[in-house]
Amino acid sequence: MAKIDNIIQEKDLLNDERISRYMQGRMNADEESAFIEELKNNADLRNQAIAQARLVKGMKQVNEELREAFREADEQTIRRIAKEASGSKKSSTRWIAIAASIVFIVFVGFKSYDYYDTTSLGREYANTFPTSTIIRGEANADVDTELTMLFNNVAEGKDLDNTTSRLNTLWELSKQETYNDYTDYAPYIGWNLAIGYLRNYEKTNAKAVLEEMKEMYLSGTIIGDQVLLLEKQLR
Amino acid sequence: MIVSLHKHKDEKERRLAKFAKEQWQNVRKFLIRRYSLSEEDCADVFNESLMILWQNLKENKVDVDCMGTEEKSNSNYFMTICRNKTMERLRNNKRYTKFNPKQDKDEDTIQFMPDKIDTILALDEDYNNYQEEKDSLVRTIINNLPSPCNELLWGYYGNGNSIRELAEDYYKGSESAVKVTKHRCTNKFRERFNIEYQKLLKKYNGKN
Repeated sequence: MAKIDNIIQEKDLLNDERISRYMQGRMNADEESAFIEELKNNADLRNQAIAQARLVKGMKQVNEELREAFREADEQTIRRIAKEASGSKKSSTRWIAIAASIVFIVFVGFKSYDYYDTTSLGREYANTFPTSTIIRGEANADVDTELTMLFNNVAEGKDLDNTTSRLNTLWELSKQETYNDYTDYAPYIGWNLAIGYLRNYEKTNAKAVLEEMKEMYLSGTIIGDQVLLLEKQLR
Repeated sequence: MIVSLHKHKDEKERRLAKFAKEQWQNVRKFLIRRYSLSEEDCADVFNESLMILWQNLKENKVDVDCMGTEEKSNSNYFMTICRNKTMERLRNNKRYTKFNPKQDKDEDTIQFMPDKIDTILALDEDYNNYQEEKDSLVRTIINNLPSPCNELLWGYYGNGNSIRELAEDYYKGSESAVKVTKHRCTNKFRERFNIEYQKLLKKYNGKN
């Protein structure tokens, strides 16, 4: 086996060109016979030429084998192969993308509608019990001040995350069996908490609070009736 | 027997899929560059053209081909179908391009003469031995050429693309890079063939 040198010299590239010219029939008669003579005497050049000739012949055969494979294939197979190569996935991906977009649009549409519906309900009921009618300044001034601020926040839709968080704590305190500063305000704390959740589009939390209030304040009472009314509209 | 038939069918399908995959890369690149087609249009042209290639091969229309009397490689023939399909599409869409039909012909395509190839092969000292096995060996190596040898050797020896074309396609116009890489690839092919052929001889001589 001839040792194949990794270092390519100008001579190698020139020989490649000569071999190629010969194989294309682009040499004149004299040049051709001289080249054949050289091939016979120069093993390196001969081996290089044989390798190139093998490639040409082999590729022709591979081409023919491929044509045979085409001839034997049926229409369905070719369609499938074509689609797979060019991205049949593309068309299915396209459909998936369209379907996903529709689902997304429907989802976003529904969410937008739901958001509008829920927050509107919160706005509508925000002034059912005006703060001035709830806080009368008879109890702890600090408590009154804080509750006024929190209830006003709910009515105006301001700082809802912090407001609902604080109201939730006060709601827990107000429900305790032991009497405390918030006990008397419990129905309004609960009510404002539910409204705050609605305005902040926290529907589940609002429902949970209303559910609790329904148990605590019977129908027939003002707060009980309002809770039932609001809960009905939320369903 | 049935297993062998299935294997045979799978092997043929694998070859078709390999051809289609390689052609898609070339066709896509060419159609986007030359005609500014969209990805989707390229895929349509490709799919329709592969069907035409299949039909023409089935009806043995390929050797009497569209551009001249000389037989084209599958790859060149397929590219010609894709170009024609694209032109048809552009005409139908009334979209005019600056494309020059003269430029689009295979003007640079080189053709190797079968008699010259045979003359060179006849110089092989071992020419008369194991001819079929050697041919099969060559085909196996060709079917498994790694990149960039696959593109360069197929481009030059299989499809008859000129060094200039290959340089434009793969080496940003550097013809010397193509020549050097092609030479290295030919050497690798030679090396691989010699190794496999020695194994083959060992196998046969061992049996004998």
